[in-house]
Amino acid sequence: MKKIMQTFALLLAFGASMQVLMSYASEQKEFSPDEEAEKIISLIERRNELNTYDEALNDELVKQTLRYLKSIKAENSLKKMLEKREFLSVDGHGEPGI
Amino acid sequence: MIKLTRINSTNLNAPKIFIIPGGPGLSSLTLRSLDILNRSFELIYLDFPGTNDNPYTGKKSFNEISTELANLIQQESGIKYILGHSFGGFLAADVMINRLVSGLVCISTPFSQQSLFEVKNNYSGKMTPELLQAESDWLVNGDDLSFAKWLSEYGNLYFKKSSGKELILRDKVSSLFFKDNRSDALNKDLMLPFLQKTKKRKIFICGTNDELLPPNILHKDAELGGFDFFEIDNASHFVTYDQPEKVASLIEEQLLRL
Repeated sequence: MKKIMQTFALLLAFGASMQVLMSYASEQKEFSPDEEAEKIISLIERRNELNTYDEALNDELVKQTLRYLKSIKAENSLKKMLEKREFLSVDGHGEPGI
Repeated sequence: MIKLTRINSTNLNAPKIFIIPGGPGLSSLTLRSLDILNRSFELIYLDFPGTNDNPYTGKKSFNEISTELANLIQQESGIKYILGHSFGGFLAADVMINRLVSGLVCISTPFSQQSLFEVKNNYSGKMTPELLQAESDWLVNGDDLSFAKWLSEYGNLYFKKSSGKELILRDKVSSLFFKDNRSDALNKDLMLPFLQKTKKRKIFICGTNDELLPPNILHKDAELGGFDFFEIDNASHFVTYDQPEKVASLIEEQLLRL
């Protein structure tokens, strides 16, 4: 569960737009929670080994996490979470320069 | 590597002031209206990788950047102060928390979650068609040119003077530094209690007409950090550009007690 939460935190940090996130989440295919969780853990382990920024790996992590969320029917929770203040960076607008 | 640009003082034995731009990803060229401060300080402008012809060397964490900055400052002799504009204020504050300087100037820095929320809210609420188009181009292209164009369309969110647009368009920005480090702005409210504990001089300056971060919002952050708070009339977010003489005089008065 801790790793799942870490992945979710990573997902939010990627700054992808909500539209992109929701398009991933709305894929029609059915996913198995166990299989998707395994894939996520494997991606996190690969990321830990690399210990550096890797956009392709980040994309894969986001995609996999969204598949997992879909498999447990958490799309609505994701939408609600993205509207929360602390996750401002993922709302469809670019983060303003300051 | 952080690039330094020194402007010698016309005053012998003047204290030094390190000047950090915001954005992140804007260069020190956006703050050069502060050159007039060389009548009282030796100015040391900082440019992070990617900006102002300083090559980009990959993502660095906030702590890595702050550590490099601390090392640079420790190598300098004499009395030292630090100034950060907006995002640059986070790094300046970190230097102060580590007690490496005698005084801190933060200009329109959004430390709290509430301030960041206001940034977002005002940005969206005061969106113009030009800004929306520039944002769209930036999100598609993601390069330095579209980044500078996007920021140049902020209009009153950034500037009272209309020439501010040209300042940003001419700037040697880094879209990579922005993309890699913009999220460092989160959770900086945690710095405020530590700033509060430091007994050295801390001043917070903002523009009365800042449409991105209004004074009433910034005042709360300043209070929590133990800053003395000052508003400058007829100035927006880039107070130093809109009212350079007023800002310079205030800094001299408050840091040097002239």
